Amino acid sequence: MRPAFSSTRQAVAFLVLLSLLLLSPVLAGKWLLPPREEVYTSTPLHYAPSHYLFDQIYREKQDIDIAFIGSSRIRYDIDTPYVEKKLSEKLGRKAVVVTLGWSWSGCDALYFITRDLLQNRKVHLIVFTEELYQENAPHRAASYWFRYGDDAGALKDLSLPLQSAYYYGAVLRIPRNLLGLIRPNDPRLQPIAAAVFDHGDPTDMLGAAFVPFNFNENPGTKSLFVHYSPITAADPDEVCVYSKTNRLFNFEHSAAPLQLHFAHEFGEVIKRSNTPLVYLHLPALSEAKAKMISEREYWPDVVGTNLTMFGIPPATMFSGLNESEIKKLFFNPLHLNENGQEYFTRLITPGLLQIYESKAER
Amino acid sequence: MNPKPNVELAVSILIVVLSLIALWLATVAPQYFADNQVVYQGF
Repeated sequence: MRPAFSSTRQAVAFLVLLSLLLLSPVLAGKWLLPPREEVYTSTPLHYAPSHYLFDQIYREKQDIDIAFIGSSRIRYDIDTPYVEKKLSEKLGRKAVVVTLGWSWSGCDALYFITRDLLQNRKVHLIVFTEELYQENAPHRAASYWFRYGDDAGALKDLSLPLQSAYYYGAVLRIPRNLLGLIRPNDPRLQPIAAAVFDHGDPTDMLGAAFVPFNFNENPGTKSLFVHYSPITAADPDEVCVYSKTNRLFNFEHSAAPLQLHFAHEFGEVIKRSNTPLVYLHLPALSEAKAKMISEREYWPDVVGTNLTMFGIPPATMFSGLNESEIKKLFFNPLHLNENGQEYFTRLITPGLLQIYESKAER
Repeated sequence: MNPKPNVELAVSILIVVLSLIALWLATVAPQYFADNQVVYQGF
């Protein structure tokens, strides 16, 4: 059989090449990484409105009064301009309220993006949400946000297969990082691609998404959106804050180890910046009749720091509505459409502003 | 004594070990980042 290499020298050259490729994240370290903002100018827009994240994290400088942070659900469920308007009225000045969201769920995304935000902006109150999926896997865009030179320490205590997954992601990104070092991405190009957001550029909506789609409608279809304002008995006073005495929260204790790990890392970032933290429960269609607010974990334990948990029990929010009326508030089983966003935001805003008043640093 | 056979053996073992690691990374890790919606955007 013909040998794989014609000489020992050729075999050694192959060995060196293989070693360089495998060790490239370690060899690159911090020195061969472009500035951190390149993460956001190079992340494809279907993973996140990364041009908006870039603007908010690196370009804007003023303090943020309230930052909503989380997966796509927070973008679809919260009418950010409405909250900003109400907070401005309360404060007697122009408030700064933003939503920093991304596609798909994952506590690693929550950790990376919150850390970058708090390293660059002062935030008076963070309101976050996270489904804590049972999936023990990195966020599918983690290879963009995780850089070995910056973040190797964040993997400590994870299992070897999970560490190797992040490492592999870092290997994948080496060519892009090296190119970013030579030729920075132009952030002005990202908004051009914002045409991918079929419901408008998030920049115009303070990071939120307004979705005029009927339930389970394909975003590409053009059927007439049915505007609907539900008439229910639900009242903003029924929005509840968790305490040991009220029995309106239920905890399943079923989150995956990777999610718990990064939830803890997220908590460490929050502690270092001393930022007041609020967890907001968002409604899902599957729980529309539930009398209690169901969470996978008891968040203060998971995050390891004091936080306020609040939400409205789904059965209270949807009281008096039948199934088809409830569906008029959703775009799909996990995301509210424009009707639901308007209804939900108006229900929770008074309670949220009270929390802001009591917790936010001035 | 000719050291060449030892060098060849060592290089061969290292190539096999590193290839196995590369194979492991390339088969186990990508499942986490698999996404059929990804459109390659070039560099």
